[in-house]
Amino acid sequence: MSLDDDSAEYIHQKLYRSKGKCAIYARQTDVYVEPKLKSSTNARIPAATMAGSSNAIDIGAEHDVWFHIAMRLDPEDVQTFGLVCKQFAQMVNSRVFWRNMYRRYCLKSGSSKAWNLQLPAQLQLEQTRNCDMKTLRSLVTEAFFYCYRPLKERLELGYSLDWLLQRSFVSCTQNKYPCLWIVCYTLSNQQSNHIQFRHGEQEVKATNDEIEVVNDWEALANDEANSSLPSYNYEHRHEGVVLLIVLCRQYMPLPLQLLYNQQQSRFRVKATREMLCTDMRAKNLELDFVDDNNSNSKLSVTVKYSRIEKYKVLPWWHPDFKKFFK
Amino acid sequence: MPTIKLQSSDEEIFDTDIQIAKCSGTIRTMLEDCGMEEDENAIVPLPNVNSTILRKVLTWANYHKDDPQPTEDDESKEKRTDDITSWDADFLKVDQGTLFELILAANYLDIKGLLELTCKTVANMIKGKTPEDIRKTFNIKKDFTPAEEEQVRKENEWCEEK
Repeated sequence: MSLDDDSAEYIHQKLYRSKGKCAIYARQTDVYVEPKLKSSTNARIPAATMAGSSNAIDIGAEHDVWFHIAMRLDPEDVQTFGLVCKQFAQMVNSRVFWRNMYRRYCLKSGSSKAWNLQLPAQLQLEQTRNCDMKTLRSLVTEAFFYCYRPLKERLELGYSLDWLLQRSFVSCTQNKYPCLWIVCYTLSNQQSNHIQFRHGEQEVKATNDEIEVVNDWEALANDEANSSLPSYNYEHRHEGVVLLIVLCRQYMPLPLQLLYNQQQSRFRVKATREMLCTDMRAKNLELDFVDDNNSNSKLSVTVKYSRIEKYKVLPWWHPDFKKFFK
Repeated sequence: MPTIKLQSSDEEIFDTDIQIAKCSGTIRTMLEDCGMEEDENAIVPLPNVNSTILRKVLTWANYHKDDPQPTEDDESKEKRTDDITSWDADFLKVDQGTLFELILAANYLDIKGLLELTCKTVANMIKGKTPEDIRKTFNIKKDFTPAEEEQVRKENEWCEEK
C-alpha cells in the first residue's frame, strides 16, 4: 500500500468517525465541485387546477398554500391529510410540522419556555430538541394524549380489541401476583427489519439503517433528510406496538408454536373474541393467531382465556404503555 | 384621515386609510422603512396581489380594523378550527381559487388574522372527509404506491378511532 493509499484511508476513516465534520485533513486535490442533482421527492403534485375558478395559482404557490393549511390542522386530521398524496405526506413528516403541533397544542399559552405540568418530564419541550424527526413525532403524539382534550377523551373510553388485528406477535410475558396472573402480549405492525425484539426481555434494538452516517449536508440543512438524522435517541422504536394486558385467575400456558417457533414463523392476530361465560358472571377471551410465513399450510393457533378479570389494550401512545413495556 | 395608495399587480390604485393598510405587516414595514408615510403621493406597489384579491383583503381589514393585534401567545395557544364568526364565514363564501389566493395574499401581506381565518376555513373543509373526498374536492391526484400509503397510515394510526 502506497503512502497516498495510507493517507487516503486515514482521511476516509477520520471523516467517517467525525461524520464529515472533520474536513481539515482533506487534500487540495480532494476538493472538487460536483453538481448536485436535486431530489425529486419535493416535486409538486401535478397541476391541480382550482375547481370552478379562473384564477389559476401556479404550482409553487400551491405548495405554500397547502403548507399553511397543514400548519393549522387539528391533530386528529393528520392521518387523513397525510393520506391524500405524497406531497401532503411529506408535509406531515417534517420537523417543522411536529414542532408547530407541539407549540400549538402542548405548550401553555404565555409560557413558551415553561414546563407544561400536564406532561411528564420526558415529554417536556426540552426533550423535543435534538432528536430526530421520528422521535419528535413520537414524543408529540404521546404529548397529545396528555393535553389535547379530544384525544384524552379517547383514552377514557379505552381501546377495543380491534387494535390487535393484523399485528404480529412479538412476545408474551406472564407474571404471577397473589391470586392473579398478569399476561402481557406485545404485538407490532412494523416490519422486522425496522425493529428487533429480544424475546422475553422485550428489548428493542435499532438496526443499522437507522445509524447511518449522514453525508448529504445540504439536504439536512433543508430538513429533507430527516430519516437519516444522526441521533442516539430512539424513542420512536416502540411505534406500531400495541400491548394486550390480560388479568386472569388461572395460569394459561402459551401454545408451543408461539413460544419456540419464532425464527421461522411470523404469527399475526387474525381474530379476537370476547364472550360472556355461561353463568354470565365473567368473560372469556380468545385470540386467533395465524402464521404468515408458512404459506403452504396456514398454521393457526388459538389461545383461550377463561373467566378473565379484565383486559386492556395499550397502544404505544397510551400514557400507561411504558409501565408495561420496559 | 391620512390615506395611502396601494397598487395591485394589474396596476389598479386603491386609496386606503393608512391605519387599515397597516393591518398588513408588509405594508407597515414598507411605510416605516422607506419613509413613505409622510409622502402623500407615494404609491405602495403590491406586485403579488391582483385587484380582485386586494379589494377582498381591504374589505376584511376594514371590518377587523379595531381587532387587537394577535400576539405570539395567541398564535401558539391551542386553536379549534370551528370558531369562525358568521361575518367571516360569509366573507369566505368564495370559490376555491379565490380562497387559495386569499391565503397567498394574507401570507405575502403578513396579515396573521386573515391567514389564520382562510387556512382554518380550508382545514374545516377537510374535517370529517376521507382522503378520497379531499382529492375530489381539491382535484388532487393520488400518487401513492400501496406500500407508501400503508406506511403513512401506520405512522399516524393514533388518529384513528376504532
